[in-house]
Amino acid sequence: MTTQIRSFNRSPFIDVTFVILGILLGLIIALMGGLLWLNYQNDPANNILVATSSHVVGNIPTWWQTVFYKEAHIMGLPLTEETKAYWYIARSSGIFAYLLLWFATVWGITMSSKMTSTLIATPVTYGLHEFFPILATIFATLHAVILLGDSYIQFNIIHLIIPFISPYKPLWTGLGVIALQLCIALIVSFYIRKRTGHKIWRGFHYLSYLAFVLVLIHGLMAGSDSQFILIKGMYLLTGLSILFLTYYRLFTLRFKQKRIA
Amino acid sequence: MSRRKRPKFTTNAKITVAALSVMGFVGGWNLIAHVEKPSEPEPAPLPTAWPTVAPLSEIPPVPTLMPISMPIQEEGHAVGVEIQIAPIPTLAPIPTLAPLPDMPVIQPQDWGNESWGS
Ligand code: HEM
Repeated sequence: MTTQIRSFNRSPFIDVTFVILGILLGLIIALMGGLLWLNYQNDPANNILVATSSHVVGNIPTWWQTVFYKEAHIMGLPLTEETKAYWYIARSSGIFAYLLLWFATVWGITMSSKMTSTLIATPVTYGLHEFFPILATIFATLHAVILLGDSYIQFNIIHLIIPFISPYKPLWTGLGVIALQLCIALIVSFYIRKRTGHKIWRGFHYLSYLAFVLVLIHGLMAGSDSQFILIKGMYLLTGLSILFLTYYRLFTLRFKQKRIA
Repeated sequence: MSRRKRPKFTTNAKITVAALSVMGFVGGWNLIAHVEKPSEPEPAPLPTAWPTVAPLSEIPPVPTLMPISMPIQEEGHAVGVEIQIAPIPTLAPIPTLAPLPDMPVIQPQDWGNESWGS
């Protein structure tokens, strides 16, 4: 049985058309955003945004409105000067980024140990391992950037780029700064691995273990939620699981090497 | 001839995972906000029951003048009556008022801005 793979040559004309369409769409969106902004500036109390949102809110049943208003108020919305919403968002996104990174690391080890190869199709396994670190890095970036809004902690953009100079727990926050940069570098390295060569990429990819450990220490030591037993348990369980899987991976690697020899 | 389609981590799956993540993150935000929510101020304690007036049955008899029966000796003259004061028993504690609850310190908002007496 032979399978025919048809090569599909896209014409450059189609490519150019899509590029032009993309640019046009971008321009239209930018123009609409600009118009909305001007309209808002003109009268902050009575503009298209206010009218639309009150229309939307008006259509929500009253019972839901009460619940929404109450929850939004508890969550620190709307964003006034003394709001704690930035702090809450930083904490939630930090923990979420950590869990996603943990999952990505677990998935990476199970993938390289071929633990799931009989259960899950390889493209799905690879797809997940490619996607989760990106999602984790997006949440980690949100976690870092949102700190700029917190009036209590007083961060500026330099504190997010240069490690160990932040006004809040500089050592432990510094580990987070390095971890984020490492996460970004690990993602970029994946997409340029053909240029760097597989060996260099593989060597660099081992730094993902370091990234995970840095984030674990960062979260545990800098986080406000580490005081809670549930969060301490989360760090313990996730940390131990990575330790166990790493041992397993090293063990299977040695076994394989012995068999080859 | 049709080939079996190999499962892939599709764009739809990515959008679903991303949407679930956003929901989880907002849920976490809400949970943290609830944990941090300052607990409702406790209602002011009710004034403790205080026996401002002791029950009559417990009040010991008040010392009074003791009348003495004596024969009247002379008509039209004041009679020297010997008065004896009944022995004073140990006095019961004097009933008092309950202590006042703590009062909040209230500062006028525009303290110092008013022109007093002008
Ligand atoms: C520029 C990079 C980073 C900065 C400036 C930063 C800063 C901070 C700060 C100030 C806190 C303490 C917030 C608090 O709980 O009061 C914190 C906590 C935390 N960060 Fe980061 N971080 C960075 C990167 C990361 C990364 C890459 C991750 C994970 C992938 C991460 C995960 C966490 C976690 C899990 C906590 C604990 C949250 C809690 O206890 O509620 N951070 N970070």
